[in-house]
Amino acid sequence: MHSILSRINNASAFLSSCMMALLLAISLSSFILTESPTGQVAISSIKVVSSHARRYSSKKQDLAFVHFNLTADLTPLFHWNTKQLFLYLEAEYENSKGVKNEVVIWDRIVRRKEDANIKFAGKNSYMFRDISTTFKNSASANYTLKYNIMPYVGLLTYGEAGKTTEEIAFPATQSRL
Amino acid sequence: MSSIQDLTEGRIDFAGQVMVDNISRVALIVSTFIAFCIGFGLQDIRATFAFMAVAIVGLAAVVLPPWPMLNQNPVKWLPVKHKGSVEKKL
Repeated sequence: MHSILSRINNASAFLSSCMMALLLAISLSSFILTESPTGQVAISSIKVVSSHARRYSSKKQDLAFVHFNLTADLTPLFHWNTKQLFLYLEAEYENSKGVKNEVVIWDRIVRRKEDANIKFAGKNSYMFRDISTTFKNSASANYTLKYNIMPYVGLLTYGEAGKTTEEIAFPATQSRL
Repeated sequence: MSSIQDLTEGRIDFAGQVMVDNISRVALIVSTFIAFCIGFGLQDIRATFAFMAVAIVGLAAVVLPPWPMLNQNPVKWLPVKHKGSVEKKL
């Protein structure tokens, strides 16, 4: 403590301890500021179309085209430790071989609180297909709107903002759209 | 040459060192606590770190330079006695 350098050393050593405590307190505060927003997921139409598989043009592959409406007010999720939200629509179903599948068919990154009031109507942005190449004999699917809260400091937390009210069956395969 | 060293080294006395230690400890704990409260109250994490930045700069300004406040109790050395006898013993 006698010279400037030793004072810098001493004060910054304790500063780092204080900073760690501050960051820990900030990350723990996320557990107090929990909210569970609600939203609606409505599926307006599903079509299953048989097409050629990518890379193997001789094989057939069923593709599902899901049109949906999303409404959710996620503004309560934006507190001081929320950097951004990752929103995604997940289809959950059991395929003909009894495998439970969870497929992300749409997603969005919400960076600002002003953009967190979600009203979206559209179709799946990612190809929705089954590894068994067909949706025939698949069980009905649930569509769930889920989110990740990405914090500035602390743990990534998962949540669910909405779900279809009833399971929706896959329609019969069409040969063309 | 010695004046440059005095300027850059910034020596303070023992009482000053105790004072610097106490000031920096209390100031850091209090400002960390206030920073958390400000950020939590305003729900703005930037406010927290802005307050911490200001507090750190302020603390550095108070604690780092060898202010006269930190040099009020210079060490009083005993007067040199028997200058010749020490040399004889060695």
